[in-house]
Amino acid sequence: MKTNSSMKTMTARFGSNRTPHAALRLTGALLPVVLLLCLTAGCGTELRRVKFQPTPVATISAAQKLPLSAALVLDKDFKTYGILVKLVGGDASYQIGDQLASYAKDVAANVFRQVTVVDSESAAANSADVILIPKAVRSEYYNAEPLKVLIVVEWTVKDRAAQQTLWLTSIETESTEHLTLFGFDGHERAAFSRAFDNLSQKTLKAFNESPEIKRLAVQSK
Amino acid sequence: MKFPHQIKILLPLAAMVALIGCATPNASVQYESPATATLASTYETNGLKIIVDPVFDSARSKSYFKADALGMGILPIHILAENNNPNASFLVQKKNLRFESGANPQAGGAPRAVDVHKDTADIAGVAGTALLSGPLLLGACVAANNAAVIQQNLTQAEMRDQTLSPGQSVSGFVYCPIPKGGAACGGVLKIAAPDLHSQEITRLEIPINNSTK
Repeated sequence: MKTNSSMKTMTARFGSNRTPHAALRLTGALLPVVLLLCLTAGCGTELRRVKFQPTPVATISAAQKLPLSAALVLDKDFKTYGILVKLVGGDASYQIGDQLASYAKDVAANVFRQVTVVDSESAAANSADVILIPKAVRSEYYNAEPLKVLIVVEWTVKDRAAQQTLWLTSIETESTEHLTLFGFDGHERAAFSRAFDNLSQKTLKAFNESPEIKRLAVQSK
Repeated sequence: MKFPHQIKILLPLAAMVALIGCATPNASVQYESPATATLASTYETNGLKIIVDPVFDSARSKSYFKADALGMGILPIHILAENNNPNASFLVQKKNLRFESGANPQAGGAPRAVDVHKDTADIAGVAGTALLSGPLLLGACVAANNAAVIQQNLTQAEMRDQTLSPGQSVSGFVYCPIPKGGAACGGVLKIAAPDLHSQEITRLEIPINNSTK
């Protein structure tokens, strides 16, 4: 009989004196321990990547750009930046450094006529008319319904000797994405992409409308 | 088949633990205009106008941040900075703000200078540690969730460093670390804003009082 053979198998697995009922009781007793282990396991920081690429800003002609050369400082902190998300049982760092670097290069190339990328402020000194230093200063990612991404990038423009701040601004972007039953990764990509596209547009607008930056252009003529 | 008692309780509990972290109240900071806030006051030097509004009231704090900031050892001060000087571009940076708790002559007590430029993440970390100390697993999960919301609110509402061109303004909260329970004594907020053209520094010393006390 099928029931009997199942019984025999269960009895063999859990010992001669244990019934399926006892096995379930054992599982019930172990469940809190397993649950606790699951929640506290891997208490380090897990690196996660969201596969998205920010939409490049529409390129403008050289004549529309500021007639200045710029040294863009992309240091290690910026290029390896991650949004830290605190989870129960450990943290996750969503790596967005590659996208931040692409965004910064794209913006700089659309504002200044000539851009060179360097990895430190000291390397940038006296190598161009101005020094651009982007820094990711705040970020939040809420990875549940609704998905929320907040990124704040601070841009500092210094003189060629890196002695004097000529302009500083903080650009903030926020994007919210509602989840559906399926396709979490797609929604995640959409939230990040939108945040970055918005960041690029806002940064370009800030550069183009800044009286301090316009003054630089006038002074260079 | 009849399930044992533990299973009946633990399976729904496990499902709740798994799901609770995924449901968070919407974090939204709706700041009330300083004009209607009882403690807001205005100061102006060299065309740099500053309106400060310290949040001593825990109910207001909870409405902005979903947390009692004073209880966490933080005095949130809302700042609105306006540049009314047609010839200056002021650099407003949190690293150039200092808060001296207890330095207000009306309040008495020894002054204690602290940088306002304290990382929001650090502040939220304090909140997180406090909230996560609950002994219950379910409680801990909810607390972690709340800490994330508080952190989001603090970050969203924080004043951003900015160059103020003529006619421009910036607003947001700065978070002054204070001794726990010592918030009511107030202090002095010191602001130094360099003009990016002349490099001259405009300084303001603003008394922060809890006059409603």
